[in-house]
Amino acid sequence: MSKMNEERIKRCFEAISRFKLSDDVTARDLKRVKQGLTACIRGQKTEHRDIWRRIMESKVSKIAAAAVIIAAVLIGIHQFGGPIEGVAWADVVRPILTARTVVFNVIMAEGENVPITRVMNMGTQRVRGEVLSPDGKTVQAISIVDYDTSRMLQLIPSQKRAVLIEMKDLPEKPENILETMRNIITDLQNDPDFSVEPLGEHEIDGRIATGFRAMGPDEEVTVWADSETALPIRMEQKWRQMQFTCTDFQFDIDMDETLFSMEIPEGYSALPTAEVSIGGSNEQNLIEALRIYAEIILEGFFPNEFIGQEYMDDVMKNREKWSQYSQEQKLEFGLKLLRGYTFIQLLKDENDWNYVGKGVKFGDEESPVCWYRPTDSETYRVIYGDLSVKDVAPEDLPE
Amino acid sequence: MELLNTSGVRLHALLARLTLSEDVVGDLMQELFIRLCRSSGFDNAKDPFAYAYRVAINLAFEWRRSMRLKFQPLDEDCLPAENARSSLDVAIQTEELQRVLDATSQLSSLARDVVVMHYIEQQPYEDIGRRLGKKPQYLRSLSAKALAQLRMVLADEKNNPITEG
Repeated sequence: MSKMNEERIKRCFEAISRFKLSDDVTARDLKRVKQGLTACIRGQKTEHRDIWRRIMESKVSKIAAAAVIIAAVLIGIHQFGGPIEGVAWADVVRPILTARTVVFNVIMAEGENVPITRVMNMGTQRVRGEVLSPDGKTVQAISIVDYDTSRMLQLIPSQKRAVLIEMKDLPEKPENILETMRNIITDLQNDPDFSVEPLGEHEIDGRIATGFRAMGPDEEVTVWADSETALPIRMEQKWRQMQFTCTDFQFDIDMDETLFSMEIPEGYSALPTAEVSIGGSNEQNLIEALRIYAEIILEGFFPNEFIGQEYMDDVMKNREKWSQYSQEQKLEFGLKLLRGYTFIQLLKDENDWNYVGKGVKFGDEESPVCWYRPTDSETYRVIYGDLSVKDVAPEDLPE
Repeated sequence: MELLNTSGVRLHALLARLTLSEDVVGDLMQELFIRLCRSSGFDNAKDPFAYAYRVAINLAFEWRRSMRLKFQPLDEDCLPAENARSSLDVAIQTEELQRVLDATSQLSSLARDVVVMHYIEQQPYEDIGRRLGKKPQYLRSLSAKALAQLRMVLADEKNNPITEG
């Protein structure tokens, strides 16, 4: 077979565009759909079963039929009769969507020495996050967030220090990670592009788990659930530029309300209340974040990745360098990084974010570090190693 | 039901092109309308046909991904008549068409929709942009990237062909 160049691929599409079934076949299929649809509208269960039986008995392979079952479960196919055997996507996401309290671990990157955050959700108003040591035995930092008042209490148990942060200029009510998970799943299910891919069974943490991957235009969710209980074991989510993994789920457990108190604990010394403006994060915030990475964290170079595993590795490997700075400075750096990070997270696919900073020296005015296209702009904004910014036409973008 | 009457033929033709199989199209048409019948997204859609169209593309590629390891013989009778084909078309083997469609199923959903609408359904970028709420220039760029990605996927496949079992 000859090599497929782009011209040949276009020719293939052209040939496909001329593929046509006979009018008889079209009329037959439309008649079948009409009959099934009439039954569907009338809510006649027996007819539903008949449609379903016909699907199952058709020449579509068993694999395809299994995929259809999963999709159908999501759209309420349980009306067709008794429960469907086996674990389905709807079963595994149900506790995430409905539980009163949820506790789980969040990992933003894979690998060794990556901190784990234990997230405790009481409803969706108050959330406690405990940053655990990589071995999971020590609580290194605690964040308690009150989403109603947009305040966050940060505690460092080893130093008995506390700081209250007020989040200002939020474009809308902030969303906790549980809400984010719920919204991603709901948005996925309501999108015309929604699809679920069954991943079969694998052993996860010593348990037999059934996996599903659901994909939408901006998001992708992979869930592994216990094959016996259908409760989630592991969930991997990608949304725009953000990616995280959740493990060790516990649903509807009792939790003490004092865990979510916004009062500074006895014996803790408090830094002055800090304010962070997250709303309206802009390009300047991104540039400031890049400056902190290149100048302070990596001493002269930009990170290999701006968000992702290599970035986490860089931060972890270089964390001792932070010790020379005061708590106030570290807080200031952290807030600047947060604003820059927020700017990237809120970019959409059409903003076409590209990061190419690997190996670029801080101050290099020739080498691009990243670029994106602002919404409604014809040109791209390219940020270089000296943190200068230029408007560049799409055809002139770096290779 | 109204959508079936007004656009059923067009949706059926779309599924036929994306599956290249007479046997599957009827079942996918049923599944498409069952999904739409149960979808709150469809009830609230500003453009019901556009919504159904994207669900149809998605369904076809969902089926195609599931079938990727199985060889699907092409219904030769449904291809354009020999005398209507250009000399290059004649040279294109039916297996290639399946491979190109399989590779298309690996694109992101947006890139895949744009490729289908532009190259298979032969719609101008301006119309696609209106339907998807994106700028034509962005869609051109996305489409060019998608073709490059398809070329790479097909090249990888050639070097490491997928085999059954």
